[in-house]
Amino acid sequence: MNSVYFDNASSTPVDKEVLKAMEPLWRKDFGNPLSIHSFGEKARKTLKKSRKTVANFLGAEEEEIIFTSGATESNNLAIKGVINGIKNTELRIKNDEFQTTNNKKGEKPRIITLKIEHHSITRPCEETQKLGLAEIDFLSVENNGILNIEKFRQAIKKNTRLVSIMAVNNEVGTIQPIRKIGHIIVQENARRNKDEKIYFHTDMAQAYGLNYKMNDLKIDLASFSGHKFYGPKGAGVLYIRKGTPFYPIAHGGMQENGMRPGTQNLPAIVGMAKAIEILNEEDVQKVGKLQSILIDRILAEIPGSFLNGSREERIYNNVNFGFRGVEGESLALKLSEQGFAVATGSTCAVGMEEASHVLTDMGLNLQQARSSIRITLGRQNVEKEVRAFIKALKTSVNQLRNIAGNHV
Amino acid sequence: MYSDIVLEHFRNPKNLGRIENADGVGNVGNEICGDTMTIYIKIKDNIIEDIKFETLGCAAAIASSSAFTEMVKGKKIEDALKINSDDVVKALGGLPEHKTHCSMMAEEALRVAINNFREK
Repeated sequence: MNSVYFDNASSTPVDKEVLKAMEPLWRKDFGNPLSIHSFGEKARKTLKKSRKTVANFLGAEEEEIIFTSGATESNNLAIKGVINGIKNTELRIKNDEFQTTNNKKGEKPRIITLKIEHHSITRPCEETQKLGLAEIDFLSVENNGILNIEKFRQAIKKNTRLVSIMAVNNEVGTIQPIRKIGHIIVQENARRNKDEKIYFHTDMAQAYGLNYKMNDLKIDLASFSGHKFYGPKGAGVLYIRKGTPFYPIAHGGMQENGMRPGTQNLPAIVGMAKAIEILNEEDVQKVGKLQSILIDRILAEIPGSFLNGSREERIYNNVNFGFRGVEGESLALKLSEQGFAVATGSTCAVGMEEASHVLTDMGLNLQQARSSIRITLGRQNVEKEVRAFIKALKTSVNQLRNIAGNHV
Repeated sequence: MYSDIVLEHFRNPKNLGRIENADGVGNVGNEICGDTMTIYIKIKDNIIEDIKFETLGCAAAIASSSAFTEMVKGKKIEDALKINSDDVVKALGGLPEHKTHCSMMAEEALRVAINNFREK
């Protein structure tokens, strides 16, 4: 049986055009961008062209684009890079015997982030705290999976220096008020000295299809991953606004201005740039229609089903449902046996037995959280697949409720 | 992730359902993962004459319920109580490391059901 893939938040198939663009980079134009010879020259030009594509897409300058291996690396770089960068600035000021204007009381910088962030944000935050480099304020979201902007405003402290809030949640697809957060930080920074500024990072790994202009959104750092939008795995971006304090976490090369040393993964970078070039609004509209069909029909036709996360403030490809009296992994397995690939929560959390930290933060109890599955659509999906899926979903839910008996 | 035996039990669970007027009923839940299970037993001459289960849980929990009830059905109470989760895991052809706790629910439910029978 042919499998229908509804796990596009986990990874997407590489577009044929992307594959074509990458092809020459393996054997013909394989040179190292730092080499002096003609192979290196060619690679350098190719790398620059890709960087320009990404920079244009983000409304940024080329030197503000750092190529990484993906969003997990970008997120780690953002948190550790900025916190260590702030520390490094303080050290430099001390060594030069300048008066330090900030941190007179030896206060650690604070990070504001969400409990529902991807683990590649929450874990590095916890690590910096463990090492005594920063203090973290983890904010909860409301029941609809969205941050209350007033709670954010109140969480800002005098020594808050970094805010990391995701644009779109990877499990429930809720869109966070990034623009409002950016503007609050700008207002706050206007009242602060330069060395007390707050920097704003956002994880945009799941945000393809939204406005990506860094200046409009007042973003200082942003993470992206190529394989989430029909590019290859192994290529990602960290946007870093000029003037942001940053200290690398790896050393030993001048690639990416020394901020991310190591020979660039040029084939994957070229593929990712191509994937950005061919992104288009029609796909977003098309996938959004499939999402509406899915949500409407599941709510209407499956009793005891509930949509997790706001319906309105939601990325167009995410559907996350819980089903009373059903366990999510069993449901995903039943669906898989009928040829449909869906996820239970975040793929990165598979193997962890606790309930989703996202759903529990949204106020779901353990059983509700564990009853949920994530269906994420892609531009390769068609309505026929969605109709067949709903049929299989109904059968599976009924079978599992039958097994659960009095526990439903 | 799962063995063929686990998948077969998951697809076609044995001894599924409830027993009306059961001699003993055992309800248990797993606080960590939220899975819950009920075992119903019919006892005749100290032997588990019939056993059925209802389980809300992952495939490992459902398959363990099914395999365990197969293993204890027709056994003397004392012998049935000797069968533990390790035996279930073995009978299932193994379970992933983080799923072994799912196999413990059934033996616990049976113990509760037998206590319930003895109290009657």
